[in-house]
Amino acid sequence: MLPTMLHLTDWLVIAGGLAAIGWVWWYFFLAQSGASSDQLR
Amino acid sequence: MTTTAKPTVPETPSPAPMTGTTERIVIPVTGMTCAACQGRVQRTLSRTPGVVDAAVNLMTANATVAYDPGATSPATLVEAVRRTGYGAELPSSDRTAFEEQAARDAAQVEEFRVLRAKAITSVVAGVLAMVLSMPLMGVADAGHHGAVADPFMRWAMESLEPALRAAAPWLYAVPAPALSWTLLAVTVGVMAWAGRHFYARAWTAFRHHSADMNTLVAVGTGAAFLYSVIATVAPGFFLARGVAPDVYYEAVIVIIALVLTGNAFESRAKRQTATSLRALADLQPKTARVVRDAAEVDVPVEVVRSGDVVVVRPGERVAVDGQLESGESAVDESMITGEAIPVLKRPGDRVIGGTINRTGAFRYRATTVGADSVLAQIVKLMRDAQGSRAPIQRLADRISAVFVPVVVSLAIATFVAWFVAVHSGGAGGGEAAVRAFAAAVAVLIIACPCAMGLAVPTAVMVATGKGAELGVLIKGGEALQRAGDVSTVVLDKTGTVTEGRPTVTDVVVVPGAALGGDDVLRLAASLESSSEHPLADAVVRRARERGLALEAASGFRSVTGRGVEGHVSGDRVAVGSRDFVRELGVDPAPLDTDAERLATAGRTPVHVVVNGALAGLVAVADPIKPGARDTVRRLRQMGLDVVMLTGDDERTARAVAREAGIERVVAGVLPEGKVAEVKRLQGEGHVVAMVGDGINDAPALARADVGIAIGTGTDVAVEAADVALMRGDLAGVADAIRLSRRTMRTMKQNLFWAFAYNVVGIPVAAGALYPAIGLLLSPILASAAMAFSSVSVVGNSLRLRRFRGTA
Repeated sequence: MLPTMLHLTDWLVIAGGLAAIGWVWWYFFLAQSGASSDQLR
Repeated sequence: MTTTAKPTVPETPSPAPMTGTTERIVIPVTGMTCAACQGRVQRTLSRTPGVVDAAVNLMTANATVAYDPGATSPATLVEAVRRTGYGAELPSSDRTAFEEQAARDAAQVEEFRVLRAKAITSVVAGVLAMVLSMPLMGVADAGHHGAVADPFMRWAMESLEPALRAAAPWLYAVPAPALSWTLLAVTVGVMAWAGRHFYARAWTAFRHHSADMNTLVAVGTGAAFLYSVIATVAPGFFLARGVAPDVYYEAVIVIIALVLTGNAFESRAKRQTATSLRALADLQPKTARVVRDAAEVDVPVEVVRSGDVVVVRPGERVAVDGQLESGESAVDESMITGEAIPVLKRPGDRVIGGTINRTGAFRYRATTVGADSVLAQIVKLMRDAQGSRAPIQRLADRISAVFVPVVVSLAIATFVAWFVAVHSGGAGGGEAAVRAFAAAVAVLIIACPCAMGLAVPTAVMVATGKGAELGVLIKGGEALQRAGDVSTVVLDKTGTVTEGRPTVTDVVVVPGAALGGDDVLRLAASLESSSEHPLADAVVRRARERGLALEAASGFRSVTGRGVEGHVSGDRVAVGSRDFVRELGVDPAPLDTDAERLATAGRTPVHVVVNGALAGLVAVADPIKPGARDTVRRLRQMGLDVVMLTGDDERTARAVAREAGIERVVAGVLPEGKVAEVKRLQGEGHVVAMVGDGINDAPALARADVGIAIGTGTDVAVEAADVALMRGDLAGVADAIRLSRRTMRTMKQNLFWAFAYNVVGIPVAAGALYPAIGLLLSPILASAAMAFSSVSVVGNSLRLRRFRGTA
């Protein structure tokens, strides 16, 4: 029922939020090990 | 706050292969503010090639690194720390513990001074911003220009607005854009000066794919600031979308002011946790009066050398450690040993630097000076202990490492949820964005993990300092935590429960004999003065105490383990066991009843034979220490099992145990047997504290979960021990365990509150209670709560300063 009430803006905000969270996790957890070895090279 | 200076460190050659040896270095690190910062420096150091182990302490602001000197160098390690965005410098090796402590104190005072100045300025700027914002509210009501967006600030300012309107009506005549731009300028000023380190450190952390408390403050205030700038520069953008161009300037300033105020309080409280250590370091006198060319001269204490003769007058402090040569005095050693009663010092006795000479003048020869002195060793030991980590800390570390990304994700989720909820509830997209934005900022601000980072180290710091005041040196957080878990206390007998020095307790003469008690003692002592046996020493000492004139023995003969015989001024005298007497053809029977009675009481009866006839008995015993019985009772009241270990025979051991109130006794144990006994108890599931003198008990002390070395006041560096008692009495054992238990309780409370605060605070800030009771945290209240949580954790640790010893 909820999805039918959502406006396009809401969907955009949800998609943007998920993308932002995904990026945060990628940046701080997955990309971290590579960065550390760069840092120490 | 300390700024991160970055002088270049000389380049080091590329790492050589590992050599297998390990060196240890303590690198001072500046700029760490929370558990996440600490975790970041620690991770970086641990990953540096050649590093065996790295431990970073937030409280003492240093990193202890074990490394392979063949694979890396101190300069490389310093550079690795600097690349994480924090300040680091090579430790100077020639500084004493006192100088290091003084330098750290000075740095802490400076840090507090700077933080306080920044906090006060920000608070003033915050008030100014509120005043400037008030006239804007009226304007904004007309749908014209930016008003106050933060709900709490709006409420506060609406309450104050009539008063301002009456007091400064001219302010309402200033054009709204002028007020807005002034607010923008004030905010930029506060962010750039007072809050600069938040942004600089957050950025450095970000570049290294890491985040800490600064990230949360920077992202929260930064987002609020950017939003407000747009509202000021292009209000039309908002108005065109039906949203009032509200601003968050005063919220940004007040958040920075509150976080800084919290940091300043925290800095001062951290300084207070080191009070005991500072007091110890301050004991070291600056000058000493030494004898040079037969004249007394005052010289700086640093130039006193081992072997110098030092003069001390009544009321003066003893400058360095040494051995008394002439004179006699009572010396107050309470600052080192916790012993309240001044100790009488005679020629030959040791004196400790930093203690106070009370009654007489004396001269002594300096023995240990500088970094080797007892006081310097205590200060160093305390510094190391306070910089060490309790195992419980790992919990806080693990959580804080993933904390910030999780919080940022939660803040984004909060924004999305609020936006969708408000928007689909019929509000415009603009209103939805504003409310979602406030909730997301509140989540970022409230989630600062500072309290978590402080929970354990502050407690370790206060507890070790308090212990030192009581003469209980606890060598670090791990020892503290284990001592808190102890279930069984194993006491060594000799030197721990007892004085460790046999003393004559009874002299019995054969009924009807011509010789009196003093005659028997005099003859026995004259003969025994040629013997090396510990019991002989007791007999001779007692005879001297009674003022008996001893004579030299001739024809001395010793039968190992049995007795001695010889001639004393024409009398033929023999002293020894019952068997020895029988071997000499003398009947010991007349004194058998007395001998049995004494042996049952734990005393060793020695038979004295004069000219072939039994003359009497001298009983020798190692008396239990005064207060030993009280301590044993107290330990048992604390729910601890008390066991006594001894190499003595069962009967003597039982007698001593009975006197001390100990029920469990393991007698006839050889030194290596003590280790096995400790192991056996551990195997039964007990957490064992072994109490011994630290010399022949060293293996058992090391094997036990907690090794407690009972000291003579100078054995600070007993390696095998986790806890060193500066005083010889047993009361310190109960104090150490009580203090550790209380500290563990404090740590757990701290961790609970730090976690609970985040667990409760984040959902409330995200608006979890809004649907039910309409409660929503303003970012400003969130920052106040965050500052309060850190201060409350440090305050809880400081309560440990009220701990009282039993002595």
